[in-house]
Amino acid sequence: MGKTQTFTGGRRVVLTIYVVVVAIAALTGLILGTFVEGNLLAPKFLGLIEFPATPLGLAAYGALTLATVLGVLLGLVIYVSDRYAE
Amino acid sequence: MATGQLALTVLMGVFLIAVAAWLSRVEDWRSYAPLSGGGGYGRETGTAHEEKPAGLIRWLTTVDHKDIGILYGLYGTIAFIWGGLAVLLMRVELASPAQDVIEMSFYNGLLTSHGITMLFLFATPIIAAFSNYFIPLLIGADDMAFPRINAIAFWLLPPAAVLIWAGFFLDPLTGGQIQAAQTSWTMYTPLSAEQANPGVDLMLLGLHLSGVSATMGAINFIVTIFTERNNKVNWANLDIFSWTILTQSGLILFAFPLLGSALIMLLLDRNFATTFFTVGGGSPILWQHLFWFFGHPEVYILVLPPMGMVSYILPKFAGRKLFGFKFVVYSTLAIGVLSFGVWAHHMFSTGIDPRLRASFMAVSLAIAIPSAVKTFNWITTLWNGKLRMTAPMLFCIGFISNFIIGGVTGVFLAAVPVDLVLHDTYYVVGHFHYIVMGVIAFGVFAAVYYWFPIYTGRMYQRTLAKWHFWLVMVGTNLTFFGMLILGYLGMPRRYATYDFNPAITPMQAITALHQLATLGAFILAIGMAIFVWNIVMSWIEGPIVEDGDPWSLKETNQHGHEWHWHENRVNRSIVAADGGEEEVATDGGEDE
Repeated sequence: MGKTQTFTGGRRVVLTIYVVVVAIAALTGLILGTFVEGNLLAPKFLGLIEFPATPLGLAAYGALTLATVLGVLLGLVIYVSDRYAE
Repeated sequence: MATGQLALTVLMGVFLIAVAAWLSRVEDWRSYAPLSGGGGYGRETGTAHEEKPAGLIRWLTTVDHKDIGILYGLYGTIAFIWGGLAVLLMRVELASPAQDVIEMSFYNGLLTSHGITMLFLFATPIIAAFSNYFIPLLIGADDMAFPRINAIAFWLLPPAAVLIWAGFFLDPLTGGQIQAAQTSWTMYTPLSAEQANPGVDLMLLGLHLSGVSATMGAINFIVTIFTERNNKVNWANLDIFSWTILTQSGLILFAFPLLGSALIMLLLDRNFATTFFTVGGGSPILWQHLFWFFGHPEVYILVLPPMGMVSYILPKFAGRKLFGFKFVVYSTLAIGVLSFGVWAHHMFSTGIDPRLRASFMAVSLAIAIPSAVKTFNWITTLWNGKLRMTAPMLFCIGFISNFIIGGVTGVFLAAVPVDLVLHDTYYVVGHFHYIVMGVIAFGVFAAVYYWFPIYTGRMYQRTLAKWHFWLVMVGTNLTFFGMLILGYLGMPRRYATYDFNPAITPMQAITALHQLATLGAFILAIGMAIFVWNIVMSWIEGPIVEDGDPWSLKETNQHGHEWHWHENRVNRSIVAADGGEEEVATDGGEDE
């Protein structure tokens, strides 16, 4: 019976998804900054910190915004997982 | 002419009587009539599936929920292929800005057919494929509460598809007098009311029929889950997939009859000079209210069951129970209720009252909360899990990551100012395709692979299944990420050609993104071809599963009712055959 099983750590998979989704946000900023340069307003992270309206600035803004939002959720996941079995 | 038609009618009548006479002779119908042993409210139906006739007759006359599930699956797959081929043609046309492959009217027909086919002829029936097959097994029922209505609900679908697609076939036969409907799947008035093409009427009738089918199915599921549960299955331990099907059926019960009524009103406008949705005397906005009061719950009708599938399957390969089961059920119910309060977010740009817009924006943002609760619970289930990366698990993980992207882009669209900028651009198309293809279809694929040993008795080819996953994952993200960017750059939906002022929007970028999306669509198509090949060939000649627990679910105490049923069946067949065939190599996540 082919039941030899290999396991992958759940944490590794979750962190990979997190990194990939944040990278996609950065890519979106990079592409938009490249294509519509000149027509952009400088974005403000959390309405406070202004990023330059360049491809890299938008990429950093996108990545940081999503990393923060999803990071809060991930933090909650870690917090809850450590305290409750189910 | 009249004599000819009369002769044709008589001929058809004689033919139908001959078919009926032949069918009545080939089998003794009553020998396997489902209610021959009594049956009724809360009791066993006495269904005698052991005496099924053989061959085609079995499939034409079956009332067994498992057979009907397989019929739904076959039907959904055929529709998926049709809808997929339609969109490949469209993507080829869009690979360059000019009109150079197909006529614009044909493009519009494909656009309409793709949307309606994928939503009503693929997604709804493919979910019914699993719910029909597995709900009775999961809740320990003998069959659906109304097996004959179950069969009727399915058999309404083939004529529905024929009517919806009729324009394509009748166009060459009638010299263009009847064409494929070109209304888009939303059938917005006044366009859909004013198009003289009878193909639109046929499509509306077909759509109506598919709605009747879905409603009959929904009633059946509600009654089945309420009254046919085994004594050991109560509301507290009802599985998550059954919960989502129950909620989905409730949504169908309220949403689809409304669509049916709106379709009848549109047909009356088109054919009997009523003025429900006309510009003079009626209101095109009324159509949008009615349509989206159905249309937005429809999104959740389609997405809740795949969410249930993932909630059900993911823990099996994470080696632990679903985290926060109760909250996943509550979030399902919350989404079901809220889904009826968000329809006007499709209409922010129509000029409706700003106070209405603000309230619908609030409810639309609120629906992100139960959706996030589900995602939270899936990820928490994964976090401390020991994952087995089988094909069903890969699709569950792909489902979650696509859902994050589709969900986040949706939250932005719920905000009125963002929506006003992005409305009717490819951003919207990218967002909902992340959900429809990246989420709904991924959940379905996970279910196809997970339950494959039960409904075929065989195992699929693991390597091909992983090829399928990676090609579909890459194709989905390439295609629909490209669409999100296209939308940001201002590319409108629904057009067969495009032209931009380079000073405002870089034309090269638009063309390049369309080509990327086309490339992604073809990668998707290759993945799907591999999928169909794998399913068909494995069904015919895959290794027979003689293990009652091919996924080793007993190790983590997650061997569900359907696998108990499968185990009993396997044991019976082994006793009957008194010998075994080759043993199956399970997709246990081992190295390739």
